[in-house]
Amino acid sequence: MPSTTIEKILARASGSASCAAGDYVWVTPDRIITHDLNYPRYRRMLKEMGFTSIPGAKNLLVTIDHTTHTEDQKKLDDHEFIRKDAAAQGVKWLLDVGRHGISHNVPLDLDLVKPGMLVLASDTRAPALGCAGAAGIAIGMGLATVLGIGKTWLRVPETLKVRIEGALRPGVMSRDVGQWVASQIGAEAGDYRCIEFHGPVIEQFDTDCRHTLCNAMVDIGVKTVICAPALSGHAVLLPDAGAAYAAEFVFDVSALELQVCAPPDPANVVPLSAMSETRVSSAFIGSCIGGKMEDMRAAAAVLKGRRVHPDVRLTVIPATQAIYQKCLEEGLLESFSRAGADISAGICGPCYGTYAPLRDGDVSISTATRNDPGRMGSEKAQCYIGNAAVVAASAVAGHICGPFELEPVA
Amino acid sequence: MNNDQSLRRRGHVWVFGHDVPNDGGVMTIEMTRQIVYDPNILSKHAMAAIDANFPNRAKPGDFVVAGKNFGSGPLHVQGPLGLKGLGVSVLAESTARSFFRLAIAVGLPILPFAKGILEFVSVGDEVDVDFSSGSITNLTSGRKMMFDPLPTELSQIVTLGGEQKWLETQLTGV
Repeated sequence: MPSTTIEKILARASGSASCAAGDYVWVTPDRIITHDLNYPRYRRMLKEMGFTSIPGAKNLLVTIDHTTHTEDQKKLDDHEFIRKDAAAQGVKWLLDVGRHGISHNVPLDLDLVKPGMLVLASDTRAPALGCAGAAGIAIGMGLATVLGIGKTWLRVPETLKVRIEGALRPGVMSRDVGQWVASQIGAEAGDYRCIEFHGPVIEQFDTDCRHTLCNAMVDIGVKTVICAPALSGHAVLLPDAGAAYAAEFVFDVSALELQVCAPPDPANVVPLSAMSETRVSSAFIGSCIGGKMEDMRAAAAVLKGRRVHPDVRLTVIPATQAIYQKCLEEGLLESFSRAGADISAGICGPCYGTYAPLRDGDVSISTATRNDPGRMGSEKAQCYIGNAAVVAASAVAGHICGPFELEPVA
Repeated sequence: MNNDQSLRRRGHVWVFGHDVPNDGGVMTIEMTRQIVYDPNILSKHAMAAIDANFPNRAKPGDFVVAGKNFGSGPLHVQGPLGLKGLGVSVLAESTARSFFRLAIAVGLPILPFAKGILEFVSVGDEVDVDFSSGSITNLTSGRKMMFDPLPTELSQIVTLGGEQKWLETQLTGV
């Protein structure tokens, strides 16, 4: 029977000749990814139960990305537990503080994720790794089972075939495409499905842009996302002709404008041009979806030679230490610093509400993953999402606007 | 699998609609924001956001019957734990991926893709459900129908009381 890409990946990972949507399979992942909020909890539980080793340790990546900067002694104890346990267990990749990065981005720096791989992770944004042609699936606490016995159960999802056509207008970024496409597909079609992306826009997108696109689909409940076309230099993993899809979508993005997600959640996507003037007090460029080179370059192009508005606090956080290093080499950090931005590296930061959290009454624009009330700090703050250039321009102007609305640099 | 291990429940039907969210549906928002993991405490708030009488009137063995996309939203375990605390099970036309995985993890009996269940049962019907085979007998209407079963290994996990209990058996080889 012809298979979709995810059916092929899950058949291989479960040691079956084939599998189809609706089947239940027991899979052994090619990569296992977890972080400081989860690894200590799962491993302590398993150790107490008597699990002395981690079967998949040679494929396991653990990073300290959520609580990197903390004054909480329990969290600091967790960091120490991770270091000692990972060393004792032979965990292949431990990304300790200073060499860390967000769990959905560091695997790409290290080139660990290849087309056709099955990646199981504890954290929700794992489908972003579809950018590399892999199936990233978030299983939350189910990862404890993987750490215990090396495998877990999955239900094979149906697949949506999504083709994106057209040429992007100037200034339109992968984030605009991602939020808009997600809002067009919607949660009813997205839940429990795998999305396969096809078409010329995906082929032209680099890994960063594909990562953003895949990542944005998480908010419509997808199980995973795969950019079917191979990256250059990698083998192609394509669905069979005649594979069964739950639905097919074709989107033309030629007329797409800059988009903003307004409160209360990422599904509330509106064109930037439809926004009435909205003052902002906080701006953040970072997170797994918005802290990549694409975002850093776009933000730096806006901020170079400009200053952040006196009423605004701007935080810039490249998603990994490696991206930070690249920003340094390309001179982007100088533009951020001279503009008056606070700079950190490799952490979820404001997207998790622990670094530069919002206070009551703050109005924020950011490249964070979501904008639910309370996610970035106070529940009495308002959160907007835009692409990195929009966030940078808004930080300069003091209100939500696009980069083209700023006065030219003298 | 032996018959004595089969996962079976008998009780009365409570019908809820489509798109019941996990937070603010299966569990009240207030309780999802507490760091509470005690099924007995959570059971007093299960489904109360939709039907305030449910926690007091539902009996062990009863069924939460729902439409499509049951339990959507954040991966919060309080919702499934609350239902487990009441001793009820779930039969849904379709279930959100996150809720399904949590239900198995905590050992909540569920038929997550019982297509046609809303037409097969009505409020108050007494039904007998074999989760392992997918067979449902409506004792009130006298009809019997097959639905997508819970796979053997998942039934086993639920029967044992959840993923942690099941993991222990993997360790000892029981």
